[in-house]
Amino acid sequence: MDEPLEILVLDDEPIVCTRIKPSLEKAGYQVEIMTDSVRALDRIREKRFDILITDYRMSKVTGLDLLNLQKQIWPDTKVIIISGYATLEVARKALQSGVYDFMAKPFRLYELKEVVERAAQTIRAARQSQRPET
Amino acid sequence: MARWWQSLFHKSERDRLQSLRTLFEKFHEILDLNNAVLNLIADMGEKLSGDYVFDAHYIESAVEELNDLMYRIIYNLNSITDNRNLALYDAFERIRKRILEELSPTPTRAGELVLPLDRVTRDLEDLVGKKMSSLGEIALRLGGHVPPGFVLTTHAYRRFMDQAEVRDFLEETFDALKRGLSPEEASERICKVLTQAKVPQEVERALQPHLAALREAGHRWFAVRSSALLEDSELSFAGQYRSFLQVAPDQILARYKDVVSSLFSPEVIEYRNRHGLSHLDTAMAVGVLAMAPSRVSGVLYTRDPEMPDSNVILISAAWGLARTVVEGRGQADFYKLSRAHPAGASRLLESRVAEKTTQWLGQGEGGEKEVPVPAELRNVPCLSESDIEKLADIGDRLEMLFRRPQDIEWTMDESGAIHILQSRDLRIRTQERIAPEAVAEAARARPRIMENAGMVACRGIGAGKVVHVLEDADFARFPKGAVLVAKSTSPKLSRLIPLASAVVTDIGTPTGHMATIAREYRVPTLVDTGRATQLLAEGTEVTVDAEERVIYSGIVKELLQFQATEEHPFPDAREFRVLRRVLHQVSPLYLTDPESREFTPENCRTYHDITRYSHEIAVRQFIEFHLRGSKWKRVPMFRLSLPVPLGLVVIDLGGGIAPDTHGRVLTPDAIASRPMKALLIGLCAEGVWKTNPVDLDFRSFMASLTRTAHTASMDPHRTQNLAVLSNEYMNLNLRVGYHFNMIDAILTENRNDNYIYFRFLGGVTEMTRRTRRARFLGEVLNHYDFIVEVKGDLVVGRIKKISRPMMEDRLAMLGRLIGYSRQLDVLMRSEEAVDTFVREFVLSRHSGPPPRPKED
Repeated sequence: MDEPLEILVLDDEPIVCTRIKPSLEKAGYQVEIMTDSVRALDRIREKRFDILITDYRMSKVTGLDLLNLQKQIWPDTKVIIISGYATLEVARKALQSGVYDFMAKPFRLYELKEVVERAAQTIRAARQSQRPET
Repeated sequence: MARWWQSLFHKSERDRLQSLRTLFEKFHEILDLNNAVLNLIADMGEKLSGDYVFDAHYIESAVEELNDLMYRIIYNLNSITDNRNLALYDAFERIRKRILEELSPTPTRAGELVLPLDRVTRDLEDLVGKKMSSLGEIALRLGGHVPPGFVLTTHAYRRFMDQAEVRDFLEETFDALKRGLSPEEASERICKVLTQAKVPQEVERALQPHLAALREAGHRWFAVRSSALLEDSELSFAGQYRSFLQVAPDQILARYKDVVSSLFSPEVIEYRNRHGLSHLDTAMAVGVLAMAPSRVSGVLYTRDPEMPDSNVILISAAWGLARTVVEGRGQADFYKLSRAHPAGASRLLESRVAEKTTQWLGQGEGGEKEVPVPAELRNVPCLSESDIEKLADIGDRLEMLFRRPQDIEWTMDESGAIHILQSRDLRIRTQERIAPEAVAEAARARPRIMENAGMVACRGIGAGKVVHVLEDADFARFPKGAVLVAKSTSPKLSRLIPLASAVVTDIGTPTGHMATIAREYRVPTLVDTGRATQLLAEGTEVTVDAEERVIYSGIVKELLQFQATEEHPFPDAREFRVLRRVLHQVSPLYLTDPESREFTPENCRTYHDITRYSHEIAVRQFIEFHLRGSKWKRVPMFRLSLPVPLGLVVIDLGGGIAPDTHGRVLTPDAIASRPMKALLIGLCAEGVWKTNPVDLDFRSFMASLTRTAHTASMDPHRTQNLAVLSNEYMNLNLRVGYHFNMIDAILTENRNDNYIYFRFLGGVTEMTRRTRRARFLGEVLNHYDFIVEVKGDLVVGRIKKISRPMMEDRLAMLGRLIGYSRQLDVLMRSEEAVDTFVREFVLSRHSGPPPRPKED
C-alpha cells in the first residue's frame, strides 16, 4: 500500500476542521487541522503537504495568499479552496491562481472527499511517472 | 420560478387583464415565496443530518434570507388584501427577535433564569450546562427515569456575578492574580465573597414556584448539582465542580453559591491561566433535583474504558447513596455483563460481591453521613439479576440515545425503580482509540452489500440484525438495536426509531418527518436507497455506514469503534445546537386549522405559521376575485369537455393549450400543459369514475359538478373548478360544496424545479367521516411518497424534486384520486372502510394502466 497522503485543513471556524478531519482520516489520509492562518503560513513553510484545503476568507490571511505561498514553496501541492462567500469573482481568481478545485460552503462531506480522491489520484499518478524504475 | 406569466399577459387584452394580472402575480409570488421558505427550512433541517459541512456564517445567512422572504410574503399579502393583515408584521418581528437571540454569542433566551427539567433538552446546553441538558434529554426521550427538578441557568449565574460588588471584586482579584497573587489566595478570596453575596431577588423569585411545586409533590430533600458549560478544553474539570446531596429547601441558595464558587477553585484558576482562558467569560448552571430515595446506588459503564471494543457492560453498586462508588470510598459489588452487539440481550459474565461495611445515607437533619451497613446486608449482593438486567437495558438505551459509550451514575429506590443522576460520555483512554488507517483498512476489506446507497438523513454508523418492517407490522416486536429496513419513510415507523441502531429505506427524503425524528434520536439513517428491502436479508447482520453511504455485510467493529471514540461528535457542536434552536422558532406548524377562530396573525408562533396563514389568505383572495365575476366575463377562458362528469374552466397563461386550438370548448387532447396532461390521464382512466350506487349526497355532488360545465352561467355562489395552466405549470382549484381541493404543480425536465402541492379541505358530511376521508387521502398520498400532514380534515401533501416520469406518475395518480375519492366520505362508515379504500385504490392502480415508472 502507498504511504498515506498528507492533508492540511485550514479554516477559522473550528467546526469546519473537526468535521473534515475524521471524514478524510477514515478514507485513509493523514490530516492536520489549523484554525490560525498566520500559524498556518509557518507550517506551510516548514512542511510539505500533498493537499491543502483552505478557507477563502479568513481574518488575517486570505486563502489566496496561502495559495500563492504554497505555489511558491511547494508547487506540486494541490490546493482546494472552500468558501462560504462563493462568488464568481472569487472562483475565477482562485482558478487563475492555480487552485485545484473550489467548493462553496455548505458542501457535503462526500463531495469534498470525491475532490480529494481525484487530487490524490493525480498526485499518485505523477509520482508513479517520476519513478518508472521502482 | 420564472415570471413567465408576466410576458404572457402583455401579449393579449392588456388593459382588461390588468387587475387580474396584478393579483395573479402577487398571488403567485406569495406561493413562490412560501415554497422558497419551506424549501429553505427543509434545507436547514437537512443540514442537521450531519452530511454537510457548514459554519456559523451559513446559519446567519440562511436566517437573513428567511427574514427577507418572510418580509416579502407579508408585504405582498397586505398589498392584495388592502392592508388587512398588518398584524403579521408584529408576529414576524416577535419571531425574528427570538431568532436573533438564538444567534447571539452569549447563551439564549435571556429571560430564562430558571427552567424546569421537563422543559430542558440537549439543545439548551448553553443555558443549562452539559449535565442538566443531558438529564433533560433523557427524561424526554426515555420518558422518566430522572428525578424531577429545575435548573438555575447560566443566565441566573450572570445575574449573580454581574452584581456590582461581585464583578468589581472579581476584576480586582484577577488583576492581582496577574501581578503575582497565588491561585490559592485568589480562590479563597473569591469564594468568600461569593458565599457572602446575595443571590439576586429576581433569581430567587423565579425559583420559588418550581421549588414550591416539588415540595407540594412531597419532596423534602434536594440535590444541588453543578452543570458547567463544558467546552472541550474544560472537560477535564468535570469532577472538580461541587455537588451537594440531601439539601433542605432553605439551604438551596447557600449551596448554590458553594457550587458556583467551585468554578474558582485553585486548580481551575491555574488551568485557565495556563491556557489563556478568561476567568470572567465562564459560566455555570446549577441543577436542583429532588433527592431520589437511594437503597442502592452506583455507576454503570456501557463499555470497558480499557477495552472499548469488548462489548461488555460494567456495573458497580453499593448500599445507600452514590458517594461510595463515585468517590471510590469503601467496597462495592462489581458486575460484568456481555452484550449482544450493539444493544440487546446481555449475559452476566462475572459478579464479585464485596463486603460492604459502611454506606452513605441522607440524614434527617440534612447532609449525608457514612454509617455502618447492617450485618445481614454486608455480604449480600446489592443487585438482583432482574435489577442488573434493568440497568443494562437502560445503559443500552442511553448509549443509543447519545450514540457514545456512557458513564452513568444511577440510584435505585426501595421499589426497584432506577433514577439516572448523570450520564456522560465515557472517557476512553486515548491509546484505546482506533487508528484511522486501521478503520480505512478494515472497511476496504469488508464485503459491501450496497454502495452509494441513497441519501444521508442522519449521519453515523450503526450495526445490527436486519429487521424488515411493514406498514401494518406488529411494532411491539421490533427488537432493540436492530437495523430497521422499510420500503418508505412513514410517520408510523417513527415510533420505532429510538429502538433502532440504524434505519434504511427504499424511498423517502432526508427532509421528511421520519428523517427529523431520526436526527432527534441520532439514529444513522439512509433513505432513498432504492433496493434495501430486496438486498438486505431479514436476520442477517449488517453495518450501515450512513457517512460513506455504504452497507457492509456483517458487523464492522472498527467502524463502530471509530465512531464511538470520535473526538467531536457533530450533533454536540455549538453550530448544530444553534441551528436546531433556530429551527425550533421557524419550522413547527401550530396554525393548522384555517376554519378555526385561532387562525389569525396574532397566533402565528413560527415562520411556518406565517407562511401557512399567508398562503391560505392569498388563495382565498384569489378565489374570491375570480368568483366576483364582472371582469372575468371578458377573460379568455375555455371550457374543458371531459369524458367524466367534471366541468372545468381553463385559463391559459401560455403554452398550456395547443397553439392550433379554436373555439372556447376544449377536448383533453388540446391540453399542452405537462402537469395537466399527466393529471388527465389518471382523471379520465377507465373505471375511476365508475358509477357506484348513488347516494343523495352523491347526486347533488354530481349536479354541482356538471353545472360548472357552462361558463356562461358562472355564479359566484356555485362551485367553481378552475385550472390555471402554462406549459410546465398547473394550478388546479376544485371547489365542490364545502370541499376545497387545490393542486399546484410544476413539471419540468429539471427535477429540482418539480413539485406537487396538494391541499384538501372540508367535506359535506359530519366531522368523523370528513376526518376519515382525510385519513384516506393522507394514507394514499403517503403511500406515494408525499410528505403528508393531516390535521382534522385538512390534508396537505407535498412532493418535490422528483424526476419527470415520477412526476407524471404522481399526477396521474392524483387524477385518479380526485375521481375515486369524490363521494368517499359518504361511504366511509367505519375506520375499517378507510383501510379498505386505501387498499383498493392502491391495488387498482397497480393492476391497471398506466404502469408505475421506476424512479431514475
